[in-house]
Amino acid sequence: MNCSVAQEMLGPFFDGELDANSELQLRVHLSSCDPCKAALARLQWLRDVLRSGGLSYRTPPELEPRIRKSLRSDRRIFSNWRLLGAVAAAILLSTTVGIRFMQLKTSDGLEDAAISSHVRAMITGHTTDVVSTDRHTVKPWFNGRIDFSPPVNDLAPQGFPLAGGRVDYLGGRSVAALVYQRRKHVIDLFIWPAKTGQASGEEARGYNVIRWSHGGMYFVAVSDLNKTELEQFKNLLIR
Amino acid sequence: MPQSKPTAEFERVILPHLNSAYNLARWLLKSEQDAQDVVHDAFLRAHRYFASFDGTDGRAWLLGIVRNACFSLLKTAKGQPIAANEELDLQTSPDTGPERKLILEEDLQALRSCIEALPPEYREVIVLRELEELSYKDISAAAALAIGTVMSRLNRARIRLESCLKGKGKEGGR
Repeated sequence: MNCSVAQEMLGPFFDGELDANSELQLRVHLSSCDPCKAALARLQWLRDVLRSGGLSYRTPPELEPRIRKSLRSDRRIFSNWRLLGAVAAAILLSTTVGIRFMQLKTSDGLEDAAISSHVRAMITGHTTDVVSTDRHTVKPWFNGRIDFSPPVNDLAPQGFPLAGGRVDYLGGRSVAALVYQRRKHVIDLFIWPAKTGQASGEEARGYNVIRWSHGGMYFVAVSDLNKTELEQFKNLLIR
Repeated sequence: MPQSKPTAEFERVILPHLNSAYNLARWLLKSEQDAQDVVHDAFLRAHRYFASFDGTDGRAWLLGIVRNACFSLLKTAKGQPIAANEELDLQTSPDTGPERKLILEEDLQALRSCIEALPPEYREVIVLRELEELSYKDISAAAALAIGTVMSRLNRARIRLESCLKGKGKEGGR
């Protein structure tokens, strides 16, 4: 092992993150390399100073009671509106922390949950599990994956070609998500069985969400497509 | 609203990490007021989305939310570039925090201003690794970085700190 390789490994070695084999090789190298030994000693010195206790900030004592109080009243009071967007974006981006389902208290939260599912699928690039423009491929794909058979329409002649589908999770249950396209826009259409349900059209976070029930199923369409065309899409489906 | 039980659970599992959350935010934002506001709001949002917490590591989960909020604020409000600048930036801001130990006093001061001079991405990994003592795996989860990226950022951050300290006449490893 030469010094430049060893230097790269010193940090992970020092942090106890090296695998056993690499660690052994590095130890052999260290036993005969004074510059690397010195570099290791510098890492230790740095840590000693860093962890001597003088560099961690103390939480201001008033913060914890303030947080507790807010948690208990849990109103949507934000100490600073300029932060709201930042924190909301942060939550949205925390894909690694396993955000599955978001709910807002202003409504039943379905719009927001649907938008989150849509955005998450777009961010991860995981919009479709079955990729097909053929409804005779997409519809049977859901067999055995969910406990109902969603209606799958081919709207390519009307300018809304089918791109595929996936199983998603919304409102506490597994739902079918059909993916349609309109020019460069992606439309997620979430479907599950429900006799009735709230019908509405809303815009939130830059997305349009339309929900309706039809033929024993409940539909939620989400897209960054403009509202007029999304309504047009809905009307084609309930025709 | 069925809040009481989740709130009690939240206070038990997440609230104990307040000090870690504040320390990280304070280092990243360099402002006590901003740090307090971001941490406060991050806790409220975390509480709201507590149902999405998978129950494994509350600290990494919370720190992930806090650090994302900090970086969003750095990017949006301050217009500060968040991409790591490869040039060594020796600009430091004077800091007059209360100090205690005699022998380490100078070293602490020097190190503090060297950490503050780091680009936020490097400052973040140093704070998470050295002050909060997170493993590479936890840093990778909190900051949404690949382990390899954690490793290389930490290496670079340490190299910068060492050369910054050298510039201040502080030689480590004595």
